[in-house]
Amino acid sequence: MILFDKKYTRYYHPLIFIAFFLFCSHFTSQAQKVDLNKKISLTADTSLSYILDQISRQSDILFAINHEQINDQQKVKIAATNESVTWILEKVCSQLGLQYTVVEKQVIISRKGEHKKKDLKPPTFTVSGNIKDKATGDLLIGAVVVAEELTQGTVTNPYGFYSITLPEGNYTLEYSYLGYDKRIETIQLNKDTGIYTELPERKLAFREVVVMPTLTGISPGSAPISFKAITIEEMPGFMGETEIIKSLQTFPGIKSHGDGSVFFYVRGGNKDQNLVLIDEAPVYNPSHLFGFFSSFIPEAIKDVKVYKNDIPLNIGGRLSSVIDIKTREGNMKRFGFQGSLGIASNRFIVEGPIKKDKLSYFVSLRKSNFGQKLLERGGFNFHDLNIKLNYQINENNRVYLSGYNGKDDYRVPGSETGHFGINWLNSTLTLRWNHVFNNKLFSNTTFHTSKYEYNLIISERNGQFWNETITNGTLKTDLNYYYNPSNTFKFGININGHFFNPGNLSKGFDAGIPFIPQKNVRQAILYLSTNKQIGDKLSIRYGARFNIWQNTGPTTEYLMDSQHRIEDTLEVESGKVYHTYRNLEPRISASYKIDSFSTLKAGYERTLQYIQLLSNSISPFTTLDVWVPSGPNIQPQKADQFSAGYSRRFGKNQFELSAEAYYKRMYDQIEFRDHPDLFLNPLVDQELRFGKAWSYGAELLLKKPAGRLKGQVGYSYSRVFKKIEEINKGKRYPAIYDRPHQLTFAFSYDLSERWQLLTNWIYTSGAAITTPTGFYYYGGKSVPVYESRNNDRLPDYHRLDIGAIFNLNKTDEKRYRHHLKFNIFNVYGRKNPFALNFNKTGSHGKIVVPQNVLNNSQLLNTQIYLLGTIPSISYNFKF
Amino acid sequence: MKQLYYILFLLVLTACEKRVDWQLQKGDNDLLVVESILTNENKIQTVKLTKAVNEINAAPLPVSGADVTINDGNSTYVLSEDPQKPGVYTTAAPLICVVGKTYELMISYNGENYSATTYMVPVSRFQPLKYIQRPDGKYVITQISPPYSRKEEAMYTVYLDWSRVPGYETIDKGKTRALIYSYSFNSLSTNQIFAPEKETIAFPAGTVIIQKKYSLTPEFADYLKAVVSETEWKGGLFDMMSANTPTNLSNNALGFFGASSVVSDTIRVR
Repeated sequence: MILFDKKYTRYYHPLIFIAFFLFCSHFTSQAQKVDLNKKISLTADTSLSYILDQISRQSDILFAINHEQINDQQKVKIAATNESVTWILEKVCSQLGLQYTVVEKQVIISRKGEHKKKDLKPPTFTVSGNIKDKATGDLLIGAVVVAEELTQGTVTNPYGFYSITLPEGNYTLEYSYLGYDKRIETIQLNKDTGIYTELPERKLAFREVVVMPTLTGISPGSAPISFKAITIEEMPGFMGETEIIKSLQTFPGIKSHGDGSVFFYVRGGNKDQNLVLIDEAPVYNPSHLFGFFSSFIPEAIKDVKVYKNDIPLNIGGRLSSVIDIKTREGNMKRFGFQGSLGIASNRFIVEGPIKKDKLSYFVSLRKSNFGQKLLERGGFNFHDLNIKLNYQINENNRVYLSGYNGKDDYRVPGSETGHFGINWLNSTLTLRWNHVFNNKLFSNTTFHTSKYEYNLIISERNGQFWNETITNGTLKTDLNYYYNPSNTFKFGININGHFFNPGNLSKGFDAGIPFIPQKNVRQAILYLSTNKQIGDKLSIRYGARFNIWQNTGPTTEYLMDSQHRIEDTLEVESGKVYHTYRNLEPRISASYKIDSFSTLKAGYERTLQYIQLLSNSISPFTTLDVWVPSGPNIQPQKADQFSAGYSRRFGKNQFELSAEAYYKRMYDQIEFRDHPDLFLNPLVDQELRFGKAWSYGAELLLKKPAGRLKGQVGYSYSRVFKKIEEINKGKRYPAIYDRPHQLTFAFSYDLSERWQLLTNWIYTSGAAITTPTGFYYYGGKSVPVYESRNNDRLPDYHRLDIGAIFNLNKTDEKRYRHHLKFNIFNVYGRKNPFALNFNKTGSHGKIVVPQNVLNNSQLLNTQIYLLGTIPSISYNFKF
Repeated sequence: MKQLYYILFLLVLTACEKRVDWQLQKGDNDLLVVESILTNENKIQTVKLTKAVNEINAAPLPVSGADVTINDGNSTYVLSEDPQKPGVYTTAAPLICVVGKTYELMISYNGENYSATTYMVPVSRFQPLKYIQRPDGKYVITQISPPYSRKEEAMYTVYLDWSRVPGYETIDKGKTRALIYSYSFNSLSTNQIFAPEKETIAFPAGTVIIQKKYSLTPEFADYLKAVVSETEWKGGLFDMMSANTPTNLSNNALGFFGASSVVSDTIRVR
């Protein structure tokens, strides 16, 4: 289903329609759930105030009365036995010349005839502000604010801001956040009010059970996977390195490529269909050591949200998922220093106020332990650096400046040419300004840049290398308008510029080596969405994202015909637009609250992707793959996803069960002709083949997020298939990441006040793989014959990791906190292969590719695997 | 301590490879395989016909009784099966193929007809291969051909013979001769750059080396690149998607009917 095909791209009617619909829809009437038919008994001869209070107690109906106009102490006589509230109100009002009206879940008492002159609605006022960590001043994302009297609530947005509009009255506001003590604020709401509150982190006594706040129904659609750094630290890590991206594979629907790989696949999407953001800037290759480690250290992370569907409209650009990482802001209260000394790397974090409660800094550094001397002999070196400045100008203005730099360097000595090697670099810079216009309108304006560079060093001595670069600059503004508790609007604009160098050699090579044209793109995005609460049970989020994507010069573009032959060559001048796409991404999701503990959710979304990784690799490691933009020859990828789910809390709110099913169709999917030339090929578009893919599956997740035993069990069944022109004779085939079954366990257990045990176990069906069904001989070589693509499967993948944290502090009194973390990766030494080979032979105790074709070498079936059992230890400290 | 880290990482990053029993899925392998390279050498030209096999290491089944002809636009050459080598069809007399002609191969076998056409491009001279001496006194080749050449794609064969070197005369000839292939293509692949380790062939001083360079048409180069991608370059840490090799033969036959200009050089290792 293509809602906005290229041929219709001149017409903006769908966007205009949706915008009009969104703006108008909040004026529609809403069903009220005040039950005036409820039977109660009440006999009294007393004040109006007392009567209304008694009715309220028996019927749970709230009353609002204007004390300046109505004396609530005037006497009323009533005698009712098992009568409806309506009957009683009629009697009361007739005695006092009053009338009643149901508005916004309340019964408004007013003078008779008054509503004809004035607006029926009682005055409403807005409570807004932010919620912070009391110890550090960090803004808390997703913290809950609930007005207990109305059971209405909201959550803080990604910038810690909240706004809730309520009718005039007295309220008890409960502020809560997982892992923090609640805070209760009692207010008399008769004017717009700002409440900027701080929550203290909960100091859990041993064996204490945490009761989760009831959040059900506050947000429509599917909740993202959300976790904090502390959650990641409570997982065993490879060589003591706790990993954000790798920990995702413990969630159903997210599948890792395998050991030593940072690649992951979400709901049948390819590895390049996941957007990783750090402080809103994209990171294109979040890996170290070819994927053995992922880029971000948990100590630098404040919050991670993973969207498999129902992606917020202010984020986009990938088909399958978004990993939205927010870094820590720096302690506004006091200086802090922490670190971790491990086998693979050391990590250090320093933070503190420059000006208390106004300006803070945060710096984290991870560096591998191999050193420059070793690097000169050949070896590995990587680092991660995060910096952040956080300036709170006043309660309405806050500015952040943050940056990330991660680099890998891998070199081996060369005899004649100096070192040969690979290095890659990710760097981002984000400048953010949060501004509160008023208690209903919040804005976040961001400028960010991102750069990814990959170098294959061919001769360090001669300065010869191959380089791929992608850079991006973005200016955007996101606005949140909290119209009323039932309607929140989010809208914004986003201007992007992209530059692609899809892989070129440096100077000093043969002049005959072709130059691969560099590409430039500019992009504008407008989006608009609304969260709408309909009654107590139903909430809907809907909206659309409109994209304009323009390829610009200077570049050379080779235009291909349908047979992949060059039909024209465009030499484009600087700044000139030579191709434009306009597309719309509509999204809608709804949740229905069955009761206080369970919710049904469903949604549809379209996602678009304009940049793609040209990778024919089946390796788990990052390789010389290049990013290229959509253009005349490459249509943007599109996906339509339908999902439905059910979630429930039970066991005194300690357990969460969620089940979700999805069906996704993906269009303009990219594959490559057999044995393509993707490297240094200016006509690389000729190597591409296009088609569709589709995936479906069901996911179950049982979580116990708090308590002495914490963790989760996940299971998913999923399939993904492709149908691409010319590939597999045009027949459908499973993708290499088609792994039907996935079962995961991840638990931590507080054995004592000083010992915590950690474990996770992961099982997935083996990846699809292409194996020969026969062989033929040519030039003395045994050449495989394949019947179909991905006809076979690798053995099932499973792995058990365990760990333990030993707290070296006997009491909580000392400021210097330190602990040891022990890990054993792949406890039972499972040999999980990532490749099967049929072309090697044994020679002098090694498995090698035969060279001498006269030998008639006996070939072996072999498998390649990584990582046996690996124990590790790290020392962690903080003060 | 740092050396320990280094060793540890090498252990971790060095992938382990082990033999495994693997049951291949069944496929239709009743396919004709054609192996033939016409050259400008003054020699009997051959066409080798076999069948694909179901199992790894299974001996190729020769195809006997086929009718094989080659037409160069002027003449048709009928090839006959070598009685000593089943499945190998030879021209009746030496045939020098030339640049500028198109050669058409016709095969009739079991009621099925197969055909292919090819042509020849010129070849340029080449630099001799490079070899070095190891500490044990034997030699190993370090480079036969540049792996990348934008200007000219080529195949190289290196025949090494040390069966007449003193001390090696009595050793089984299978262990004193080697034939190695090498290629220059006009593109590079990741699995080529990070190709798996190859068998080492060490030879003594006195070894005779015959090196030949074959010109390749773009189609023949594409075919050979696919062949090495599925054989020599397969099994490294950065593998590409497996796929069947292309062909210029009709009727689902496998292999390639090629034509190459050849230059050669002979050296003795000293």
